[in-house]
Amino acid sequence: MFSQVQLIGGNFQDVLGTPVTNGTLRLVLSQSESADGYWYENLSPYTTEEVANGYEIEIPLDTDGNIVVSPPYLVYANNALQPVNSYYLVYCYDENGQLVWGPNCQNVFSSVSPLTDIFDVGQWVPNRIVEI
Amino acid sequence: MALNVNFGITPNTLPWMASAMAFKSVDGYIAKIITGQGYGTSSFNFSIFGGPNVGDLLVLNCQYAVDSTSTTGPLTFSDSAGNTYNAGPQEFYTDINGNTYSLQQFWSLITTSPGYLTLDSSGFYITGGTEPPLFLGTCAYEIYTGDTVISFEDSNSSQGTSGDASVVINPVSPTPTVIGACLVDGLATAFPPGVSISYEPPFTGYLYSGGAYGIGDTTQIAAWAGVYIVYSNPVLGVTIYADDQTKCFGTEFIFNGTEFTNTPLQPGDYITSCTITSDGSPADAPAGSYPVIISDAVGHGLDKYEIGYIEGTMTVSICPPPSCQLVDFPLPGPYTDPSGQPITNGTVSIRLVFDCNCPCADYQITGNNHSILQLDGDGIIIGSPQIRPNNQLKPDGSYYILQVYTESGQLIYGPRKLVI
Repeated sequence: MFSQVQLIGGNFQDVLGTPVTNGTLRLVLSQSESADGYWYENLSPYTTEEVANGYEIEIPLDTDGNIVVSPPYLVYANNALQPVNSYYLVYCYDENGQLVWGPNCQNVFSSVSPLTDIFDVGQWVPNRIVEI
Repeated sequence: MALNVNFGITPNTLPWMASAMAFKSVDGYIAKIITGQGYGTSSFNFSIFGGPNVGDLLVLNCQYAVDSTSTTGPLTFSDSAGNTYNAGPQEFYTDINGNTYSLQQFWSLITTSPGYLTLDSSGFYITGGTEPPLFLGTCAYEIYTGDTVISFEDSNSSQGTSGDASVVINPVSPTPTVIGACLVDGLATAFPPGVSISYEPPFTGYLYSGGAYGIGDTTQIAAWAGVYIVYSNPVLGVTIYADDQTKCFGTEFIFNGTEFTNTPLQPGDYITSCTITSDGSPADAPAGSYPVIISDAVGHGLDKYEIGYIEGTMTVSICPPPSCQLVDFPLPGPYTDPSGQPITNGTVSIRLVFDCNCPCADYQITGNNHSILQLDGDGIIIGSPQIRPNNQLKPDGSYYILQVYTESGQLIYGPRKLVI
């Protein structure tokens, strides 16, 4: 698996099809039961590092409500973290800072088959998380 | 007097009608039975008229009875085309009340289309009968193309009823033909389908079923020694057609063994399942056409049939993804207050009950925000807004919450649950 996963996509929009222009996506890693937080296993090359409890990242959206791709925004994949069954609490804000989507519990996965380090958040079904 | 078939009338049931009622349905047809009675004074005219879905009518077994103490002339059976049909011999019957009837059966014998009578709006007639009372017992028929409403009439008065029934077509008994002789000599002998041997001299033989016959138990040869006559019986045939199928690429099609149709069997025989396969069944089968292979029919009484299997076709297509189009907002107005006055310059607030995903295009649909639609001076939504229909959204079960506000911001209607 890759070191971290780049998030793309989203197409955040309202029910009339109006995109959440220049909004912000905020991901907060769920709390680990371990006092140490999560341990992240990076297989290329193999290393192990600690990810703090409450790890958090804010990602800007473009004018179409999609995650900005340049620069790339990377997050830890949940299926590369120990202990298992972690998830992110995800919030989406419009450009005025108003919460328009979330908070929803979502997973971010990396994959070796097919091999990819890209995750399209448009495929999230709100509050549907997968046990790892 | 014409009467529509009345399902509420209980027919006069005579004991001999019981056998006539013992019908069995035939695949592909809608079996019906009609009963009625007429009381002619000088003549009798019983007609069956087709309804709006007139099709081919198969009259299988009409029988009527008349009071044999009356003078009743021969009845004539005909259709509107002027065809006449054979009637069986008269038989006399005494019912449980001691009344004597003349029972005559009638079968349709159609020369142009065997077994079928084309029923048109002109009807089908049974005429004759010079003295009352005449009782028309039962007439079982099948509508070949669709159901129809049947009405019937006689020259004076009538009553009748009709309802679903099943119809038996009695098979013609095959006539065996002697084709040779077979010597029981200790060797198991298999015969092709349709060939059997005589049972004389008697023995508790072991005639193989499954389409082939033979004398299998060689330990009994001494007891069975003799020369047997070999018969060739008419071989019954049935053709089983695998149903054609269509599916989208990416979906798996699982056969349950019943996706077939077959030509009619003899009464009591049936096919429950077949082995059906197709290379187009797996989800990853590329778009194209694939044969549907059918074999190994399972059922009852099939060992006396020579079974033909006809392949079907499975068509695998690239199906378009479900529509991701917005649809017109279904409530454009005008919006009015309880007194019927338009909500001038008001607003309509529409909100999704929870965040959703539109998987057909990987859209995330926000549920936390209210979308505001502006009303004009007539209370009609300005513009032609479109909205995401709920059946595009995941999780299932989403809906909208609609609220209407006056120009001053007062909530005047709602919240109302709305599924689009």
